[in-house]
Amino acid sequence: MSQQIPGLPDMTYIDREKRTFLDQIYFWEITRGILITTKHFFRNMAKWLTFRKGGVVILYPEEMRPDYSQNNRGRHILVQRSDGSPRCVACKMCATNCPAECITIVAEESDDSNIQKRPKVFEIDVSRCIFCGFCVEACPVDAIRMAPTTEELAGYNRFRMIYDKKTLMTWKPTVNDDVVHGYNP
Amino acid sequence: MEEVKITVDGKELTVAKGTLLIDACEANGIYIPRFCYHKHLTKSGNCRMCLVKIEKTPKPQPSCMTPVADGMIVHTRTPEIDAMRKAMLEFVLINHPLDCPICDKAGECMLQDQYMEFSGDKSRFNETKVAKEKLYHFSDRILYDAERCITCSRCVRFTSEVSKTNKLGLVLRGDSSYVSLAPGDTFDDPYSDCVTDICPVGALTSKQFRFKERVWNLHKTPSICAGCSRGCNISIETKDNQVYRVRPIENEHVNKSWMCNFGRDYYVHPTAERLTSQRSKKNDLDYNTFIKEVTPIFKENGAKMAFIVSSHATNEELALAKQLADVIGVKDIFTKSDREWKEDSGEVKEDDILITADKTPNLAGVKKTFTKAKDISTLTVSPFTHAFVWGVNASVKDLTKLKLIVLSTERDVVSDKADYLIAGQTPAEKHGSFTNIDGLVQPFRRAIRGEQNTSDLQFFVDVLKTLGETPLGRTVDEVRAAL
Repeated sequence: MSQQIPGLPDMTYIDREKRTFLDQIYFWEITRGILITTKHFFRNMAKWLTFRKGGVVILYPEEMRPDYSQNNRGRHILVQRSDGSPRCVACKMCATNCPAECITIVAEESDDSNIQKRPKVFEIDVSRCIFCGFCVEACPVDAIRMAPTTEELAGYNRFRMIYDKKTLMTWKPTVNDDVVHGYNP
Repeated sequence: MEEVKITVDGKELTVAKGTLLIDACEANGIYIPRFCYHKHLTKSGNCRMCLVKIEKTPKPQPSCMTPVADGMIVHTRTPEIDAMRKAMLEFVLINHPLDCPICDKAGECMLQDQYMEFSGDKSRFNETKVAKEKLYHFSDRILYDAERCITCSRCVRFTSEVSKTNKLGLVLRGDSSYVSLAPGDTFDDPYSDCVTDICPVGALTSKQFRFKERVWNLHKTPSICAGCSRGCNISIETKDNQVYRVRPIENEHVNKSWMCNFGRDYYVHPTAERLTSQRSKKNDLDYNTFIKEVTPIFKENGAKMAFIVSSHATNEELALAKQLADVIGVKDIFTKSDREWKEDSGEVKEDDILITADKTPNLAGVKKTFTKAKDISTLTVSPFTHAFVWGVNASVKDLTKLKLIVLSTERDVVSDKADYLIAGQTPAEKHGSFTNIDGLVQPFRRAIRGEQNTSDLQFFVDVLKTLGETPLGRTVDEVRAAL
């Protein structure tokens, strides 16, 4: 027996103790699932035949999606100063805010007395990262951002998924010194 | 003591006459914000954060300068007082550089805390901030950032009243004012690191701790300093089993709010070469075999054994050692000081502030437990065939000619020649209690985990058990309860 719960959106909930025989064999539910799949199959085929978008899946990794949102939270970027040093001051706000605890930072004294502090080690374990973007929100100096694209985040082993400072800085979607694309709430 | 009745925020308090209002409030759980006030320094009343409304006075009064009077009615959180504190913070923050991301004080900064509680406003200051010296090297331990300084003068009062070196002073006026040394001078004060603790902002920071770790990541364990026999109350701050820094904890009867620089280095940079396992003369042994081999030696040679006790041992370990000595019939027990002052170390030998001449934490406890013990200087090796050496620095002529059982933490001449050697634990790695120079017994808990070392206490427990005796207790708490 399914029942409608008042005050909640138009959804039905199944009371396990009051199921009828028809409910218990799940025949109708299975059929309904197949019908949904079939519906999408024919709809996609119609799109494909008429050359419309969304027809078939993207053939990753040969093909990449061209239409990531600018606000999509993908791969991390360490933003650079114009001289190529990281803008990061190793304050560890991102590491503190990170719910997955995947950021490791070791600070050191900078040669530049105006900067004073810089990261000696900056590692993000993307195998542990949940891509929540809290590190970007926490950063007081806009030193960490997330690129919209998510390609090539996979790795053959876990250790290759720990991205160090160099890896995070090779990726430079910089237009000029101040404008950096990517997720920045 | 005469007592007076005052009313603070509608709460009736009975306090001793002459108490300062800020102390009276704090003792009764009402926190008044402050920058320049410090419990163990003279009051200067310059920061104006502790102003409170006292009825029948025309203006708000600084609570750190006002002694309580009978019938005083005080309000600490009226709208006017809050607005005034907000304005005070705005003044302080005008020239404050907002270095919080790179400031080592961030997280325990009084300015941050009070901003969050009383202000929370955005800055209205559009002009240029006053630029000052950012990296003023006071000494090889202390770094001063003049921009962050709020000129509360706590550090100045500390050097003039507590350490009595009068090294620091405030120079210039108004927004140009900053803390300075005399020209060409360095801040070489044996208590200099205390100014980094009392600095309410990050103006004075320790070079030792600079950029090592953010303070909120540190785990703080209250402990007792083992650097000398004063027994200063300290907080050992660790992360991932590594000591990052040591700070004093307030204790009115021992160290007030201070500790010496040596005590900080003692935990952060241990210099000695640590021993990590147990061995006989020929080969490494596992712990159980070691106990099995050592126990008969204790049993058979008790009367001919020189029993040398460590002054780094806790009272609980000493009680078990005494039980062992009684069981095996040791006649001669010797005390030694595990660490002695060396002239070339640059360490202060003794002063009338905190540092004592006895450089180990528990010599008083040793003398209290082993009342008949003699000093190690009276030890001659001729009547003995065996020696049990506990701890380091057993400097006795020909001691290595005896058969030696050594329980120690560090490698030295004696442990190299030992027939049986077992590694112990340093004070930061064990639970226990120390008796300080004034006879005050202070318990402490473990701050870091030692590298697979058996605790000294466990060693005595296991030897006693193998001898067929019932030890006083198997854990620190059991022994403490038995004492």
